[in-house]
Amino acid sequence: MECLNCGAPVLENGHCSRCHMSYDLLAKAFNTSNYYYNLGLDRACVRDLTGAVDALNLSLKYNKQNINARNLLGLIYYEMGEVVSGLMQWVISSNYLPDNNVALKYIDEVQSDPVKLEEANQLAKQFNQALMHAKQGTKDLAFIQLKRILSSYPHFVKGYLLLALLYMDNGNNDKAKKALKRVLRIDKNNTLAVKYLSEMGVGSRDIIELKESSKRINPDTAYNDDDQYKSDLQTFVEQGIANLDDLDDPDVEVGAFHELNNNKFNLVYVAVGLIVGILAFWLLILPTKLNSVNQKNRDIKLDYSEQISSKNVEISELNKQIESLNAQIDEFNAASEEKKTEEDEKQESFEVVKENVPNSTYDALVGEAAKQIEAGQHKKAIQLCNVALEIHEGEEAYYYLGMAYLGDHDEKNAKSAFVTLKENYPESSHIEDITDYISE
Amino acid sequence: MINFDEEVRKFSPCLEVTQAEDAIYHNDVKDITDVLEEMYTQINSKKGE
Repeated sequence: MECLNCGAPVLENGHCSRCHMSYDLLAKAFNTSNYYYNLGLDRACVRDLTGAVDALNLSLKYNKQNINARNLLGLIYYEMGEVVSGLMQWVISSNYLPDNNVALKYIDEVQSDPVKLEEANQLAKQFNQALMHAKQGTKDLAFIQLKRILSSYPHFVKGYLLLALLYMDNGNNDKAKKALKRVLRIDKNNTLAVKYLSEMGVGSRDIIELKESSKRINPDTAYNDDDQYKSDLQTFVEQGIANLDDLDDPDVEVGAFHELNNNKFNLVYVAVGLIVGILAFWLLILPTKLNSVNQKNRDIKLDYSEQISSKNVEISELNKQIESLNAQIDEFNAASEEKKTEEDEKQESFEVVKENVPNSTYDALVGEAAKQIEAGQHKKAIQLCNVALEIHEGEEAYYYLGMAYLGDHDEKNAKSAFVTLKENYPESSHIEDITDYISE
Repeated sequence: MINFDEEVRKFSPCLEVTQAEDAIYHNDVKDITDVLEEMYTQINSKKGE
């Protein structure tokens, strides 16, 4: 048996040999995760998307690597118009299982069309803006934004819900119902939609009827408030109901038909239209544009201030580094100064020792060197002569040094020692012995 | 009766594409395996003390 967490063998006591997890506990958690996935799948199949989202989130709490649950959750978010949330679930899923994962296909499909992705981004931005307007009390702007969004994205559930709330606040329950009908077409048991309908006094039986009648709506068509009359007329024709109470504007009275002469008012209409247009632009569109430009400016300012603060941090760090390096240089200079002083002192003490060493030591060293040459220990003799020369220079030391080098077959150094002897001590008794070597 | 201000406060903003990366990196939802791992780590650390 292999561990469900890490794949290592499971011990006889039922625990993993590597991660020590209980196999039974993990198996139960994974089974529960699959159970909630199945529940979510069943709910998604009958378009109960809110219920499916709840079940799938629960499934992921039991096993976050449940690929099917994550992919389905992404798909539901996508269907509800929340493309980026869907994409996020698919990216996480593809990270857990990079091969043979349907999430990769979904991601490719979304990313292959940059225009679509940009549109989804714009949708999110516009919705957030509309939400901000609604929260700030500028409801007219929120209406305009939401209608624009929903005409391009007829599947955007959150947008319909916010629009319905705005209509309800405005006292326009019919239009709110229409928006909620769309929600129920996409997400059959949307709790928020049902709550709003109940608050508007729609009974549970009527809600069921509303759900049934919503099946006639094609959720892929662009949303438009003005087709309410058509929809209700269709209901009327299909159900054969002989009253018009449910129609959008039941108070309209049908009077006698007579042709209106509007020619004389045409110019006035045009002028009024222009004024209304300019006012609408001034009051509705211009503030939105200004807001978006201000928002952009704020973002840019924020970005620059972040950059400046990060640069300041870098500069202060670099200054600290410079200070520490300067301190190191000072320390190094002090150390080298100290070392130099020590060396000078050593040299001075050596000179003192050298001056005070008795000549007997020099003689003893030279004598010992001569003995070592006779004994064939030329290396030792070289060392002894060098020590003797350190004490003070002397013809004997140079002579035996040259002889020791000769014995060691180092003719170059031997010649050098003899030349020094000849130059420094031309009256030496050894000159005759070394003349042959120097002339060679 | 529905209170508009209260209800509208319950709406959360949508994720934008620029925020997706952060959302993915900070998606540290714990599942049962994580909880068990934490428990085992705590038990082992107590034993070590």
